[in-house]
Amino acid sequence: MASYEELQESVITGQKDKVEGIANSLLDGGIKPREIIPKGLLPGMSVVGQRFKTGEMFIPEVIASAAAMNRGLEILKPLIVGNELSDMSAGKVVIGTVQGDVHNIGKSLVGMMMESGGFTVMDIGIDVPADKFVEAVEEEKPNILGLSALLTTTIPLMKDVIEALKRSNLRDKVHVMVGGAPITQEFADSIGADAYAADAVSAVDKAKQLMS
Amino acid sequence: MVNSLELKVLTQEEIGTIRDKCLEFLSTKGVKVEHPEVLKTLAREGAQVSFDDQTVRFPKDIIETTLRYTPKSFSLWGRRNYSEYYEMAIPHPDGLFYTATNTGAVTYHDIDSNTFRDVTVADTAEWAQLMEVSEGIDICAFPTIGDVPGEVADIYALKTYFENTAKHVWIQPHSAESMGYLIELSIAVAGSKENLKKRPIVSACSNSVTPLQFVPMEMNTLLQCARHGVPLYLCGLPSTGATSPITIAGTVLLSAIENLAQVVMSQLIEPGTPVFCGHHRLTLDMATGRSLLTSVEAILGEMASAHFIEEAFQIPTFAWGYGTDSHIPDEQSMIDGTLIGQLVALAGTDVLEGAGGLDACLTINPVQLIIDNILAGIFKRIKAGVKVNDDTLAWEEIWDTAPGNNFLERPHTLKHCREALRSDLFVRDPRAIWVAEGGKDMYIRALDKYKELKKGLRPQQLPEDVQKEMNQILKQAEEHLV
Ligand code: B12
Repeated sequence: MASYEELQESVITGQKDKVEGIANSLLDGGIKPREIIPKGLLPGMSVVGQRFKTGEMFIPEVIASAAAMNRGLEILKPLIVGNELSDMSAGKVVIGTVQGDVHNIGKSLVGMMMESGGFTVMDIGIDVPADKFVEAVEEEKPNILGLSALLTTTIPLMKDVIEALKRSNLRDKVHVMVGGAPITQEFADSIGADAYAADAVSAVDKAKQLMS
Repeated sequence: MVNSLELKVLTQEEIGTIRDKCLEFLSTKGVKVEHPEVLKTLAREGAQVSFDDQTVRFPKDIIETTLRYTPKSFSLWGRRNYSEYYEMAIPHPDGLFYTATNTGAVTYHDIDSNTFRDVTVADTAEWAQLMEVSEGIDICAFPTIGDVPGEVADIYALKTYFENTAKHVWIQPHSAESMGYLIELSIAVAGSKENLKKRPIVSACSNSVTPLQFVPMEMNTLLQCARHGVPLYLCGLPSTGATSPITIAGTVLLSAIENLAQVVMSQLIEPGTPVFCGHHRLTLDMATGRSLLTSVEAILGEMASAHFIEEAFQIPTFAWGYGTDSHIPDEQSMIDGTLIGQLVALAGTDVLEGAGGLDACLTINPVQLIIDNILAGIFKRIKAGVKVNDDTLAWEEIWDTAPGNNFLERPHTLKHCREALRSDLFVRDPRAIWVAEGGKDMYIRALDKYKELKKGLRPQQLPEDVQKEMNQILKQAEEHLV
C-alpha cells in the first residue's frame, strides 16, 4: 500500500494522476478518507505554501499542486459525511474586481493562491457591480469577501460595496479584504476594510489571520 | 531617410510565419468586440460579425487592403508657445525616435522626504513645466492625479498640462465618460475641430484586454479619436504567462494579432486614421506574481515586436523605452533604463515611452526624468550611427599630418569639436577635481540639476478666452461626472 509520504510528494510535485492512484490505493487499504485528507493531502499543500513563500516554488507549480490536491479531494470528499468536511477547508472566499474595472490577473492570482492555501474560492470575475457582491455574500455566505481595483475611477467603488453590505445587514457576517496595485493600508483603513494585502502571498497569510 | 542603426531581431522567414498566422487567426477565429456601434460599422465594411457573441472575423482580403491604406507616415504637432506650431514627422526624418513620458502613474516619489504619496495637481503642473524645459522629451503623458475626484482626474491632468506645457500631449483616458471632455479641452486649445484634425496637438491610447478582447471604454476611445483625427496608440499590455503565452515568441504573435485587429478596426471606422502599433510587454514574475516591465524577456519581446511590425505592416510603433522595476532612482533604474531604451530604439521603435517612471510605470520621480532626458540624447546619438563621407573620413587631415604629430590644431578638429555628446550629468573631471567639487554621485548630480532647473520653471501664458473655456469645460465635467 502507498504511504502518506508518497501522497504528500505527489501533491508537492503536482501529479494529479498519481494523487488519484495513491488516494484510491489508501482507500482500498481500508484507511478512512477523513484521515487521508489531513495526513496526506493537506501537509503536502502546506509544504507547497512554505516553498512558495521562500521563492523555491513558482506560481504555475503551486497551481499544479493545488490541482493535484483537488483531484484527491474530489475522490475523498463525497465519502465524508457531515461537518467534518467544512473543518478541513481554511474558509470560504468570494473574490472579484469592482465595477468598471477589467484588471483581472491580480484578482485571479490572489484567488488561485488562496485556493492553494486551503480556502474554497469563488471568483466572480471582473467589472462586478456592488449588488452582485452583496448577492454573492448572501448566497454563498463566504467568510471573506475579496475586492480588487486598480483604477482611480473604480477604487472608490470598494467603499460602495462595503456600504451596500451594511445596508443589507451583511457587513458583520463577512471579512472584507481589499487589494490592487495603487491600494494602500491607509486607504483600506479609511473605508473600513478588515484587511489589505500587497500581493498574493501576504493575501493568504492575512486571510488565515482573519480566520483565526 | 538617413541610414540609422537597426537591429534585426527576427529572420524574414520568422516574420512571414508570424504574419501568416495573424491573418489566419483573424479571418478564422476572430476577436471579441464589446461595442454595438463598432460592431455595426465593421459588419457594414465587410467584416464577419456575430452579434450574439460579439465575435468579429476579418477576411484576409479586407486585412490586406486595409493595411495598404493605413498611413505609413503622419505628423504629431507641438507648440513653442500658445500659437507657434512645430511638426514631429513620424517616422522621425533622421531615422531616430521620439520620447514620451510615463503615463498613468499613481504615485509620486517625493524626493525631499523620500516617501511615496499620491500625485497632486501641483506635482502635475511642475512635472509639465519640467518636461517643457527638457529637450529630450517630445511627448508629454500625464499621471493619475490623486487630490481631485477620480471621475475627473484625467480632465484635471490634461487641463493642467495645457496650462503648463506647449509640447504634444499623450492622453490616457480613465473612463468612457471623460473622453468627450478630453477632446473638448483639446479643441479649445487647438482653436477648432478642424485645427485639431489638421495639426493634432494630442494623441491618445486605446488598449486591448489581452487576450483578444476589446471592451466598450477602449473602443469608445478608438471611435472618438478616429472621428477627430487624433492619432491613436493602439496597444495591449500582455503579461507573459498570465494573459499571454509564457514564451516570448507566443506573446509577440498574440500582440501582433491584437495590433492588427486594432489597426483594421480603426481604418474601417475612419480610413486614414493615424495609428501607432504598441508593443508593450510585461512579464509576470513567476515567484512573486509581480508584473515586470524591464525583465530581459520583456525587453526582448518588445524588440521582436518592433522589428516584426516594421517589416510586416510598416506601421509606426511605440513601446516602453524608459522605466524600471526599481522603486527609486538607483543602480537598477539606470541599468534597466539604459538597456530597454537602447535596445528598443535600435529595434526601430518610433516613440519610446515611459521617461521619468519607476515601479513598472506606477510611480514618477523628477530626478529620474532628468536622467531619462539625458538617456534620450545618448540613445539618439548611438542610433544615428557612424556617418562615413569625405569630410568624416578626414582623408586630407590624415594625409597632411606627419607621423607623431597631433590633430588638435587642425581646422577640421575645430570645426567638429562641439559635436560630441557631452552630458553634464556624467563625470568628465579627473578625481582630484571631482573630490574637490563634493565627490557627488550620479543621483546627486541629477538632483542638483533638478533643483537648478526648478528655479526657472514657469507656466504657459494662454489667451484669456481659451483659459476661460477650459475652466468651463472642467466645471461642466465636474457637474456631470462627480
Ligand atoms: C495589465 C494592465 C492593464 C491591462 C489589464 C489586462 C487584464 N486582463 O487584466 C489592460 C490593458 C486591459 C489595462 C487597461 C487599463 N488600464 Co491598466 N494596467 C495594467 C498594468 C500594467 C499591470 C496590472 C497587472 O496585471 N498586474 C499584475 C498583477 C499580478 O498585479 P496586481 O493587479 O497589482 O495584483 C497584485 C496585488 O495588487 C494584489 N491584489 C490585487 N487584487 C487584490 C485583491 C485582494 C482582495 C487582495 C488581498 C490583493 C489583491 O495581489 C496581486 C497579486 O500579487 C498596471 C500597471 C502596474 N504595474 O500595475 C496598469 C494600470 C493599473 N492601468 C492603468 C490604467 C489607467 C488603465 C486604463 C484606464 C488605460 C486606458 N485608458 O486604456 C485601462 C482601464 C480598463 C478598465 N476599464 O479597467 C493605470 C491605473 C492608474 C489609476 N490608478 O487610475 C495603471 C497603474 C498603469 C498606468 N501607469 O497608467 N491595464
